[in-house]
Amino acid sequence: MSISLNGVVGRGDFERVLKFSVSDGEVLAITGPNGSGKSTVIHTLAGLIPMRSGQLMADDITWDSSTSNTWVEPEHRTCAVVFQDLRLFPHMNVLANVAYGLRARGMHKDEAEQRSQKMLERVGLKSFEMRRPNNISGGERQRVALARALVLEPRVLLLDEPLSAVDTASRSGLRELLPELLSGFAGATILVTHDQKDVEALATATFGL
Amino acid sequence: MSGCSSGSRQSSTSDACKEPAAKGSIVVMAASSMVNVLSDVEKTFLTTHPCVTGITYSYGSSATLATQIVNGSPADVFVSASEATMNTVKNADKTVTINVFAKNTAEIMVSPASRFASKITDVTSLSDSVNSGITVGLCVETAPCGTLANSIVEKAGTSRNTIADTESPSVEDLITKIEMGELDAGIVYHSDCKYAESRNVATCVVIPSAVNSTNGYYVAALTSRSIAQQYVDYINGSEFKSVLQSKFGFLAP
Amino acid sequence: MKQRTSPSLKVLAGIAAAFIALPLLSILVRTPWSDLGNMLSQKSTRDALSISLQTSIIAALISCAFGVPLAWLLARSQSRGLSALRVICITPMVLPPVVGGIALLTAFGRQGLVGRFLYDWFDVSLPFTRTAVVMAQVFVAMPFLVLAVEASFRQSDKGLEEAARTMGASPSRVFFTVALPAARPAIMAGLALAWARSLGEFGASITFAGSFPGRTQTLPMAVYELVSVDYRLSLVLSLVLILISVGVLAAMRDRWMVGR
Repeated sequence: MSISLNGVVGRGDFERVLKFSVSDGEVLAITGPNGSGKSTVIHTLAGLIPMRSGQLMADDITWDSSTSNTWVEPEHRTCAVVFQDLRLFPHMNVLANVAYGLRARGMHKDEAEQRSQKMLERVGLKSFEMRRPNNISGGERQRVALARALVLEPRVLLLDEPLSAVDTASRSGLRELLPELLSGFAGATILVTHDQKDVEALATATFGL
Repeated sequence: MSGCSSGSRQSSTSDACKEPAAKGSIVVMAASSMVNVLSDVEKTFLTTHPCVTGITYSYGSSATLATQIVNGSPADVFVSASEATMNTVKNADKTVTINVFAKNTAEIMVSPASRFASKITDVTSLSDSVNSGITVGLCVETAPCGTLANSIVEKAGTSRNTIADTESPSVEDLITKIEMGELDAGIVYHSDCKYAESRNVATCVVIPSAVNSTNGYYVAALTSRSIAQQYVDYINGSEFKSVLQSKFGFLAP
Repeated sequence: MKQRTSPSLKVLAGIAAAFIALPLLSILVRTPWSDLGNMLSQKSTRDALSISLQTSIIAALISCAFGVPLAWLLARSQSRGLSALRVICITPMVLPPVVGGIALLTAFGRQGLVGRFLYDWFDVSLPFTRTAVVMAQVFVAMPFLVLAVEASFRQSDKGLEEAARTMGASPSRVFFTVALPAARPAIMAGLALAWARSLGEFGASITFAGSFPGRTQTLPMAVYELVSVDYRLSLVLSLVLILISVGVLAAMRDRWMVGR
C-alpha cells in the first residue's frame, strides 16, 4: 500500500503546501524545527484535522479530498498513531490499553488479550499486563504506546516524536527496539522527529519541513 | 379633643378617634375562606372608619396563621375558621377578646372541565370505587376545613383515604386546583362554592344536612389598639352579618 | 513563610460559620430525644421517609441517565444555539421551586399543554401521583448534575478521545469507554448533589404532585404540615433530613470529590 498526500495542510494560523508519498516497507522521516507543523501532518493523516485543500489517498481509497468532497473518519482509516504525549488511557491497565483498538474493531475479548500479550512480549514488557500507566516508567509507557499501535497491524504507522517523551537513559534501549519492530512491520511508516539520531537509526527517506 | 381629620365622610358608628395616635393601619390575619367577603367589605369599612388608614391582609390556613401569631407575627386581628385554632392563640395569651360571628357548612365543588361532572352526586361518588380515576382533594386534617371534611366523610360512611388523592394546606389552594381543572372535585365551604358558581368557574353539589357539619368563625383582637377593636366590632356587627349571609352564603353563628 | 490568617478574617469567618451551624445545632438540642423512637416509628413518619427515599433515589438516577448525555452535548458542541440551551437547562437552579411547580402543572397538568393530550387520549393524569413527585424532583435537581458533569467534560483530555478514534473507536464507543470513565468523579458528585436536592425538594413537588400521606407526602412536606400542628414531631423529621444531608455531603467529600 502506498499513502500519498498532495495539497495544503493547516491548523489554526499555520498552513503548508505539501506533497509526499510513502510505500509499504518504507519509513519516511519528516523533519523540521519545532513549530514547523510536523504534528499537524500526523493529525491530518490520521483524520483528526481536515486538509485545507488537496488530496490524501491510501492506494486507491480517498481519505480526504476537497475536490470530490470525500472524508473518511479517523476510526475508519487503516492507520495507527503513537502520539508524542503517548495518550495512554489512565483508567485502564496496560493490557486493556493495548487491546483497546482490537476490541474497538470488534475482536472478541479473549483473542484481543492474547494478541496483546504477545505484542507486549515483543516490546519487552512481558508481565506488565496488570500495571497501570502511571505506575510504570517513561520508557515503559512508550513501549506500551508502540505495542498499542502495532497490535492493530495497520497499513500506516504514524510516529510523532517517538523518543521525545523518554528519558535519556531509556532512549538508547528504545532506539535499538524501534528498528527491530519497524523491520517486522509490513506497512508504511511516517516518523516525525527533530532528532537527527532518530533519522539515522530508522528512516529510509526524509522530508524536511 | 383632637380627632383624625377626614374628608367629607359620613360618620357611622364609633369612629371618633380618641387620640391622635389612634389613627393608623391594621394587620388582619384571616382564614382563606374569608378572602372574598373581607375584600368585598374593605372599601365600605375604610369609608366608615376613617381612623383606619389601611388594612394589610394575610390569608392562609387558620392553623398556619395561628402558629405564626404564637411565634410572634405582628397582627392586630385574627379571623379563624375554627374554635381549635383560635384556642391555640388564646392559650398563648395573644388575644384580647374573642367572639364567634358566623358558621359555614361544606359543599362539594366540582370542576366544570371534569369528565365526572355529571356523575358526582354525593360524598360516596367521590371515591374511585364508584367513579374510577376520579381525582379528589380535601383540606389537610389539621386545617378547619379538613376537620370539617373528616366528620362529613365519616358520617357518609367512607374514609379520607378512600376519597382523597391529595391534601391542600388551605381551602384556597384546593379551590384553585379545582378551578384549574387539575382536580375533579373537592369538599370546600358552601360560601366558597357559591362564590365560584356565581363566577361560572365551578358547580356545586349540596351535601345533605344529615351528613354535613358546620364550623364556626371566630374573630379576636390581638392588640389593644382602638382601631383593631373597631375592625373586630365591625366583624361582629349586623351589617357584616348581613353581607356574610345573604351575599356570601355563610350561616348565622 | 508560615501561613497566618489575619484576626479580622478569622472573626468574619467565625461569624459566618456560627450563623450556619447554630440553627442546625439548635435542632439537635431541641429534638425530643426521649420520644425519638416513638416518633420515628409512627406510620406517617415511616411513610414520609420511605416516599422521600424512593422518589429522591429514582430522581437522582433519572437525572444521571438523561443529564450525562445532555452535559456531553453541551460540552462538546460549538453552536450558539446550544449555549442558549444551556441557559435554559440551568434555569431551574435559580428559579423559585414553586414557580417550577407551576410550570410543570402548566405543561403536564390535566389542562396542560402536553398533559391534556395525555389525559384525553391515554387517560393518564400526572398531577398528584408519585410520578409527579419524581418529575418535580428531576426538574429541580438535574441541572445540578448537568452543571457538574459538563464542567468535567469540558476540561477532559480531548487528546485521549482523539487517540481512541484513531484506534478505530466510533464516537459513541469513545464516549462510553474513555470520556465517561474520566468524568466519573464529577458524575458521582453530580449524583450526590442531585439526590440531596431531590430529598429536600418542596415547592415544586407540593404544587405539582400535591401532598397526601402515604402516597405523595415527602419528608419536607410532612415537616411543613407538622410545624403548625405537632412541633416536636416536625423537629424530629427535620433532624432526619439534616442528618441524611450532612451524611451525603460528608461521604461526597471523602470519596468522590478528592482533588487529584
